[in-house]
Amino acid sequence: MTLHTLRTTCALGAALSMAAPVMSGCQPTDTGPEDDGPSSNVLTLDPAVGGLGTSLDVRLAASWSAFDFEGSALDFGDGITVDELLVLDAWNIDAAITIADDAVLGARDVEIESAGYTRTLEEGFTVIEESFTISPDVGMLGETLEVEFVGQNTAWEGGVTWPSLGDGVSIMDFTVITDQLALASVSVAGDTYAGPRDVLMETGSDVVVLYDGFQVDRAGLAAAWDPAVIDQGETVDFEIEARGTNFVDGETELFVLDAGDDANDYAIDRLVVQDATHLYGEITLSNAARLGFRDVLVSTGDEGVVIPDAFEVMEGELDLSEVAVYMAFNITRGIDNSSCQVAESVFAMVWYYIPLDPPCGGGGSMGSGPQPYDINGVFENPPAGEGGEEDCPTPTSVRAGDYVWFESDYNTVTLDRVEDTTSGMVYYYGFDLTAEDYGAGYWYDLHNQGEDGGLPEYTLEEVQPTVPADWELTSPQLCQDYTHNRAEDFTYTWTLAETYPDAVFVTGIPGTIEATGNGGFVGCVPWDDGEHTYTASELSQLVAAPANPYFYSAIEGPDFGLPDSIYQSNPTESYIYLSAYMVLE
Amino acid sequence: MRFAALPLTMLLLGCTPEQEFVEIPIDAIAVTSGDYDRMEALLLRQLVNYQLYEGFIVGATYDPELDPEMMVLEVEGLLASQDELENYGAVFVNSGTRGLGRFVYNGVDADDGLVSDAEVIDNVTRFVSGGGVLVVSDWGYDLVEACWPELITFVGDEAVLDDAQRGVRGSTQAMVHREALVNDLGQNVVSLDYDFSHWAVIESVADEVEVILSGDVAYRADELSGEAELDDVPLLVAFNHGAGHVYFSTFHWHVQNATVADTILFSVVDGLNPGGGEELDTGDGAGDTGA
Repeated sequence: MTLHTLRTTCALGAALSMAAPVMSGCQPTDTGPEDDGPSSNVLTLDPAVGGLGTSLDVRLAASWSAFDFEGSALDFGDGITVDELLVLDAWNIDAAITIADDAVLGARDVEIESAGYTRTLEEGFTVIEESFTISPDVGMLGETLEVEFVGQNTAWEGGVTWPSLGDGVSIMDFTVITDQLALASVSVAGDTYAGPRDVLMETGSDVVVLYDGFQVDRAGLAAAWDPAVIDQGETVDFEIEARGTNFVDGETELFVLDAGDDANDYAIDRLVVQDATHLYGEITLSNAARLGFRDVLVSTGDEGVVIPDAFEVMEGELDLSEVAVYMAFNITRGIDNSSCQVAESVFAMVWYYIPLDPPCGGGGSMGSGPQPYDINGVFENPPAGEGGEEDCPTPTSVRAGDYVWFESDYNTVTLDRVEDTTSGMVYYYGFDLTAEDYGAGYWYDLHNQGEDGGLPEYTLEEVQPTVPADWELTSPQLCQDYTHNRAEDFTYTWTLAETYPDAVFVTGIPGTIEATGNGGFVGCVPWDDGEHTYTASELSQLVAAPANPYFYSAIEGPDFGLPDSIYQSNPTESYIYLSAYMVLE
Repeated sequence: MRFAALPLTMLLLGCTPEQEFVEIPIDAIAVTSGDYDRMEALLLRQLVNYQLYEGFIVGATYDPELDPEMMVLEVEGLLASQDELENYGAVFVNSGTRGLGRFVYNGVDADDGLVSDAEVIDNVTRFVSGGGVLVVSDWGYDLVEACWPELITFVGDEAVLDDAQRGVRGSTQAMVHREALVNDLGQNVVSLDYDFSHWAVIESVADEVEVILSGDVAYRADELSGEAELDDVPLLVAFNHGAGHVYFSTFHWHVQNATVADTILFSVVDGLNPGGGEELDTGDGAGDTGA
């Protein structure tokens, strides 16, 4: 039998940082005078690079019967020790080596002694400065796992350094602990191909590569979800069939993902584990669930299997009986501390939407505060809800034509349609409005243009009020670092807002309550007689500090709703608000 | 390039009543492409012609850029057709050829289209008994088990497809048992690399099966326990069926030391003729370079 030997070219070792070969293959230089091997004999070393201060295993392979089990030796030169050497057969040697912290960087020759020969693999191994390891270095198809990166001579930075594990392996979360230690949560796609991946660690323009550093194993976790399609707002039974998993009743959890994170637009109503690879349950999607394909993560302890594109969320049918309306028509003013000029903006908005079902976010406590009328006091801000603000999906918007109008005997205000691609909201907004457009003391009709596929044209009469009258603060002049001694009463005056009996006039000075250290305010709903005084005893309960006093008149709209809608009590408001600056000393 | 059918008489001439291995030149070879092995790489290195049949479950792990759509012939057209099989003297079934497992490896869809097809099993056994050579690696084991269930005992439940796929990734030293191979290698020990976990583990073989390589292996005894070891179990085996021969390797050929792999393959598989394909045309474009 005669076998053909193919010639290979010599590949030079180079720095691991980008574009470096990981396997060195060279025709060796033979120093033994008795060597009569063919010139095409090739020795390869894999990996052919190693980082300062690291230990690693290398494989030396020969294209001919080159090694004896006894008496074989490898020499990598100064600064690299061979800790263990194992001759696997006549063609392969495994060695464990350690590279000293002070080893000389760059390519170096490797000498091999075996079978009476001494051979040199010229520039067969390269020492590099930066390197890293990853653990574990194997992930199963469909698996989510936590991996640790340990660097050597690296300078990783949070927010700057980012890893890449190759095709089909996603970085779900990455945290730099120190400049040489980082953790990542990674997800191996269930439908990617198995095999090795290069691992890259990028810090700005500095890229360090660990060739074949992560292996996607071919047998893994896999799961399939049924049904393939769910409508917004729908409650459906689902089933998951998996393999390689260890589902446990009471322990296994299910998450619908949105951009890799747990989504906020679904609820798992029921989850029953039948056995290690089968479960079923019931899921309800919010009527505002994001449209499109959704991944599902099934988690049991440390085991996680992602079902990519498990189902598609389809748009639910528009039900005009479920459309609610939010409206506002306000003036907001602020006194510039430097110039004492009053800046002004007018806000007019209408939003037709379908309230979330199931509901999301119960709203925090309103806390205590001044009640009409002429009730003064010092109040703490209401506590934030536990766990912070609840993350809710944006309710689905309903189109009502290109324009909406606020119509009254005073004037007509035109609101243009705005489509916010970020939030998905479609609403109507009045652009470039001034105080002249705000007809104080009027009731506005809500008139929408109407459109096919959305709301038809409606005119809802007298649903948007405005405050009875415009007003202004007359004293003191709250600007230019106006300073008030808390030990003295603080009197302020305004032109009448004519709030009786439908509206209110509210004032306040926010700050920190000295006794508790909590946020709060001195507040009042004064008689709308143009003058009120905060007493020294009230003001002295606040910590001395700069403050932003506020004053506003406000009115709420009536209960109303769109014809045929189940929502007949919609939030409507209007106010004229003034904020300023002062210093409490 | 397609090959003309081998004269049946030529094949039969190589078969003795004792079913000994007798070298018959293999003039036409079919290879099914698989996700994990690439036995055609060895044929290429030795300038042996072959015809490739696309059989990827997903795609070649050794070349993710490879586009299966570019291959005209498919594995179903080979194994499910007696007429097609008769065009060849040898069929190489790479590990990761579709249709030979319980599930596709990256999902829960069934992948038993070929191994559960009685006509395919009949075609393959008739192909071998008629003098054909069948070379199968690793995950193709279900085909061997389905055709000759009594000859090789794999670990796990042999009634369940893929249940023998329990091997642990790593290397092992294998003893070489066939004398001629020892002579060709000049050694009686070779190192074998298992580049993926879950390779098919053999527990034992029937008397009529020749163990060519054996060694100690680590495997998962079951899903819940850790690794276990089996001592000196077969790693490369061969047996006769009718006038033909079957070779099964637990390892992937293309990841072994090239010299060692080529030597073993061409020493063990009788009738392979190195250098036989001077103008390679293999159906995958790989032979165009001649190397």
